[in-house]
Amino acid sequence: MTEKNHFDGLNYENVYAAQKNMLPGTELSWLNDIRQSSMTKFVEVGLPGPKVEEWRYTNLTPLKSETYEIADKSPSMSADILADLTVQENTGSKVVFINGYFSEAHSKIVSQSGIILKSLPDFLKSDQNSAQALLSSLDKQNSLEHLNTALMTGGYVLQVEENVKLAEPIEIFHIATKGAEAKALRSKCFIEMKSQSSACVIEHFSSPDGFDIWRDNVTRAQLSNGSFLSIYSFQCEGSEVIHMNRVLADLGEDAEFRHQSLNVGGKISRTEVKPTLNGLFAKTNLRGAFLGREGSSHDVFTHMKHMVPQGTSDQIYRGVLDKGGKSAFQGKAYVAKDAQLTNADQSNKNLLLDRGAEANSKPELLIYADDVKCSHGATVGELDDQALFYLESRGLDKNAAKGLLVEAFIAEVFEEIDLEAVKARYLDLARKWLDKG
Amino acid sequence: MASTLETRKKVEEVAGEYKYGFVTDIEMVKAPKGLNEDVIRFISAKKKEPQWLLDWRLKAYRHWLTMEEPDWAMLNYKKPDFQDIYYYAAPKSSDDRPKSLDEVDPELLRTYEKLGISLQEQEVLAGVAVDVVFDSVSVATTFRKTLEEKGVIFCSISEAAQEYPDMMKKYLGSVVPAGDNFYAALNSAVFTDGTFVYVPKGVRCPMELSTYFRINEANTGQFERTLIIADDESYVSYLEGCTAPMRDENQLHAAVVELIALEKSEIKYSTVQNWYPGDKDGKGGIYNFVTKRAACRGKKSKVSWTQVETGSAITWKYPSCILQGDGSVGEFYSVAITNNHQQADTGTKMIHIGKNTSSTIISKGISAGKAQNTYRGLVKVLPNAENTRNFTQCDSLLIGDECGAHTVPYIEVKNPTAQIEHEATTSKISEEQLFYCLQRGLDVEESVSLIVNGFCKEVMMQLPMEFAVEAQKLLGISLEGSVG
Repeated sequence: MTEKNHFDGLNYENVYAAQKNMLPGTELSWLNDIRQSSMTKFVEVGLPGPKVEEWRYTNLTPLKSETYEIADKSPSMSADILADLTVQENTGSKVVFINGYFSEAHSKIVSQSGIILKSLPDFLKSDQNSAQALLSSLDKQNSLEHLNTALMTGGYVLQVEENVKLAEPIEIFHIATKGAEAKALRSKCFIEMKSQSSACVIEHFSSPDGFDIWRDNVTRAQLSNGSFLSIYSFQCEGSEVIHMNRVLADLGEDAEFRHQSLNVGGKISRTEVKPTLNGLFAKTNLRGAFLGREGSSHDVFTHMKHMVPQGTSDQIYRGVLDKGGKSAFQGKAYVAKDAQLTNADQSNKNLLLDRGAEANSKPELLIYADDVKCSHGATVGELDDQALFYLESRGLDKNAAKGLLVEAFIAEVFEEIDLEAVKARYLDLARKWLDKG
Repeated sequence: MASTLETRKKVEEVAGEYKYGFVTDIEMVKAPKGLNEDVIRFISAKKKEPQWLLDWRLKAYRHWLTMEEPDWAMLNYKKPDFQDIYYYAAPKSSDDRPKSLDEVDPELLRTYEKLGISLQEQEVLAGVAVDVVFDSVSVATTFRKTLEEKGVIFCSISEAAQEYPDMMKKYLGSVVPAGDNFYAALNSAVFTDGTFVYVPKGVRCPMELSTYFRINEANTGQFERTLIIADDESYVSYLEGCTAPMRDENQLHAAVVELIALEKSEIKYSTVQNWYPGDKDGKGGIYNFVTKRAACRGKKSKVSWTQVETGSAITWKYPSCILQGDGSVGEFYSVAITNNHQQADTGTKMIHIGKNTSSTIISKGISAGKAQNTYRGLVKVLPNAENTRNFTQCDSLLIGDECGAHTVPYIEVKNPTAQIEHEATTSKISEEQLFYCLQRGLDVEESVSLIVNGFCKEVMMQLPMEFAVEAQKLLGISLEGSVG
């Protein structure tokens, strides 16, 4: 039965029927069962329509009116693309996905004791029991999640053992190239941090301009007691991409999760970050910036769940919208009845650079505990005329002055990053975006 | 913490004391239970309404039949059975309406005395013109003569339908269309009475206008409709208060208020809502589903909503401003207090359409016992609204660990020259503030009262004198013991 507020997903059921033999792991019957049942669940609900509250600012009609099939496996790719994207020196592991498939040729897995890093297709075969457990523990409320499970082709599994510290950040590359036009690229990533472990992941989403692609990536992170995980995300998709990235994190006692994202590409971009603080003293830190102009729509959706006492969460998001750009920030902080002594802060500021820009903000607080400190702030405005005038009077031309102010506006988001190369890349991408305008 | 226990005990004591919970024994004329086109025709005939109004009601009813009850609000309640309600209940003696206060049923007058609004007293001492709506009909309107001299029309909406049909036709449903939402459509179909106010050009209404609503009969719904029109350069301040007897079943109140502010006019609309909130186990109480909306049509017009919400089992209410006129101003000041099992989902919408429009939203939510209190607001700036300004502040206080306070603001901006600020905090009473007061020699009760008064002050200051007294008393009852 299809709910009234959803588009039916029958076209994707047809894709599954026609292309299921192309999916990795077809020889595993348990996997086929999971895929099949996920497909059934997806079809029951369908794609969220504009009347679904969480999707009020992003219209998914294009996914219904056009059917995005699964891309063919790995064409060749020039190594230059990779070199351009790489942030860290060449010492860490690299995991590369081309058009949604793991590319062994371009990837480099550096072995370190206590660390398991595998592509999802490999993991499905080598660790069948744990893979099965992981795939059955997914977000059952989310119909897109079911679709992703049914049709995913790529992804990775990272496991960090107790007390192990990952030596170098891992870089993940989601690259689209020739052959990806009008296709859907889906991946599912699992990160498991055992107690007192620590890791850092840098992920890149890159695709050529003009390619009509649907990208759907899911990352599920499990952080045990005292572990630390930081994810840096660069979304530099092409102009016609529908980009979706969902991050779910489950935090144990004293665990810390950080997520930093920059969104500069795509025609529809949706980033969801949903941390659940299940252990005392857990800490979450979310940072993000989204830059948009004509033909692009950014939607950042966060859902912070404080389930137990003494948790801390902090969210800072900045949006810059030029002519024709549209954005939405929907941030939800939930504090359960038992989560006393929670500190939850949220800040979303938006800068409108020109006519025709649109910023929406919905910072929500849902509080069921009384001894808490929760706050949120949201603003929308334009550049300060006086500040602009001051800079111009110091000899900067208007564009340079504007650029400087915008840079300062978003710099706050990336201020605390201690990896210099990563920080520099964020600012560099922001600057490039500005120069284009 | 001893002080917490102490104050919580006080809350429980206070919770049982709904002092307006009496029933007045007056003979009533009722329409048959349930809702169908005949009931609507019956109401319309009782009111001797013109045909166009009946048609309007029927159209609204037919539209209502196609609608579904909204469930997006953060409220949890048993949906009312719309066929189990009396849609019309009037004191019998109103068949021949009283010509003056002397002719009003003395029993009724005593009711109002109990409420603390003796009509004579009001008329003579306070100088407030009161329109009293008892269940479904407007019982008496005081001070009409004085107002008439100034050209101010202040009468029941049924009278207005007969005497001022042109204005009614022009403005009724122009701000809240008959099919606007589920409850507004229901109200448009079955509204039984309400108030009509017209303030002519250049007139500053010489006194505060006020309406008192009371639901008396069992199983009745109250559906009143208020329409206020402020012509160019006029000013009016309007007060509204409500009570109901204690009953075990839930009673429905679905009102519609429409305000129209023309050029340079100002309307100040204040509400003290004290419907029966149900007992401390959440039994009974009023369902308060109200649609209130103002259109600032003229340049530099201003509408200010002030509300103190202490009653009702369920509150679903979003007084809004459509800022069409250039330079128009919308304000929303709200204190919402929920205790025991009360649930409130309230807030405002500010739609900026004209240039140089500005709006201010100050919302204070206080949640105690097992109550849920939600602020839900929208600030929308359309592409042609240049230089708009909005400031929103929503603060919530939580008392006890079983209640909830939620904030759901929507900000939608399509013009770069807008300056929109929103901030919200949720906390309990600061230990430091409490400690400071205590060490200055105040006891816990006094300290809490002082701090909470300070918390609500920005809103209470907006209330007109006549209401401030009552509102403060209400706040006193609901708040004094409830924070610790």
